[in-house]
Amino acid sequence: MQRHTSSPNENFTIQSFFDALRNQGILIGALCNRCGWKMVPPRPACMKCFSTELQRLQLPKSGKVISFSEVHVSSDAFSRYVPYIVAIADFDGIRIPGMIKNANVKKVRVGALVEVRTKALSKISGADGLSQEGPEYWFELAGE
Amino acid sequence: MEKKKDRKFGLGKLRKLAAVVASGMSKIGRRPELTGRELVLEAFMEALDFTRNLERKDIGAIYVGSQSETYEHQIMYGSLVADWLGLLPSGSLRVEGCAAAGALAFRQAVIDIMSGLHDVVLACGVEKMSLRTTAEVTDALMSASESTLEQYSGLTFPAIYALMATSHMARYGSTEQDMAQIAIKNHENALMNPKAHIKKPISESEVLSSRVVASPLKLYDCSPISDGAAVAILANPEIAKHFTDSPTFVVGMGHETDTIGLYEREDVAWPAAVFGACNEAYKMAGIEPTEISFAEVHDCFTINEILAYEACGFVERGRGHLLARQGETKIGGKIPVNPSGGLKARGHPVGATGLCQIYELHLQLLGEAGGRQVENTKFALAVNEGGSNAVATAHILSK
Repeated sequence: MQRHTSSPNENFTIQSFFDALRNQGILIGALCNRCGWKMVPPRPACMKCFSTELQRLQLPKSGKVISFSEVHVSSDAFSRYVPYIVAIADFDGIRIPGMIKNANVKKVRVGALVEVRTKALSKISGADGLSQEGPEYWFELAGE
Repeated sequence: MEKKKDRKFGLGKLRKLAAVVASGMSKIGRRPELTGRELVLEAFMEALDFTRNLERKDIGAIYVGSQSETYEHQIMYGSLVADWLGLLPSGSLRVEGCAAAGALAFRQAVIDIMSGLHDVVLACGVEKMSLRTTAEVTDALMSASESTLEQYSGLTFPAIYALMATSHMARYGSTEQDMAQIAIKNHENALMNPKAHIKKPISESEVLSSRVVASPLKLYDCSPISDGAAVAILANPEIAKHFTDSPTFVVGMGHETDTIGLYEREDVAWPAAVFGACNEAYKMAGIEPTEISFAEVHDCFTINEILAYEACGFVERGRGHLLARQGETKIGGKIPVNPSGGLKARGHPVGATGLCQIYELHLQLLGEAGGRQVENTKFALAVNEGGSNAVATAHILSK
């Protein structure tokens, strides 16, 4: 019997996420055709049902702050940004972490509306081999 | 589908999974005079002092929990420890699970005993952190979060726990004062622990005015950067009395995993893996949370002790801060938590912490905890967590 090996679908890899971010300025993910679960970044197999029947989705532009913090002490790679604000935001049921830039922390609230911005952030060298692949996206408060 | 482990246990009959015949812990703190392996040796020598008839060759396997190789540029911690403790050629293995590494090493030792593979096993945990700067330690700990989005968005570990805190505060009305109570209590308990890292009482205003690390968490909400090691010698319960008159027994344990990224969770302020691990342990031991005499839980940041109260079943979900506010978790309270001083004040040598907790359980159950002794102990719970509570273990010990 011939053993069959298939590589993870390249349309749903971490690399595909960064390609879309760099080339199109968008954040992509995967929608599971079997169970409807949404994942950003995409995964080659659904984290809930492990189906590989997936389609691409694009993260909605505006979301809502689930939680946030202002970081005052950080690693060398991020020390130049302190203090900086980080958050987890919900985009129509999809949650991702990110920095909130160009905002006063006093104006940030749980439930505040944010928008995703994608432009080359300064190159962050850091924690591992993906050092040049950092997510060049962040959030800003809506209407600011 | 019901999980197999749920069917196998939970028969209401206490089953001794393994015996702890001895345990030891190094002094915790800044220990510039010793390397990691020597800290393990210090803890091991204490344990040996409390056994009889135990020859080092009896130890069939060695498990060593260690968080990161960046501190000492050292992997192969299994071989290193086996070598330095004179335990060659018994099999050894480094166990990794960030701050849960110590308890995971302990769990592996229990499994070896339960399977009958070995009669005597050594579980160790160690971290030698103080050679590194705060920025370097921050980076080493960050590697326990999800790399592509969390690490690159600058989510430090204090920030991850701050995100849990902000969410808990917004929804349940917990406050920075509530979190301060955890720090105050644990500092107080550590005053009576001669091996604790921090022996300094603190006031609420000192906690609240300490400098911000990641809002709302301040310096005194965070556990310190510590050096230290702890060990437990485990044996088949049937032969435990050969090595000591006073063994303690593991009567329940649990182990669960959650998403690597905090952002993937439905509720960022709910440590589901802790809840699952505790339930598994309670079921295995056939007891209820109300039967726990005291607990050592993972207060890496004050908010996490509050979350642990809820996930351990000591209080309803969303009400952990009220238990802190009422002082019910002090020694002498309804359910004492972290009599050792916890990670906050005993100290948090990351890979050692899980075994520091087991050491405290063992001492308390034997009535050897001195000024911090909890009265009338029967069942004791240890909860150890790694990453952003992405892996959790629970162990229940009894006399």
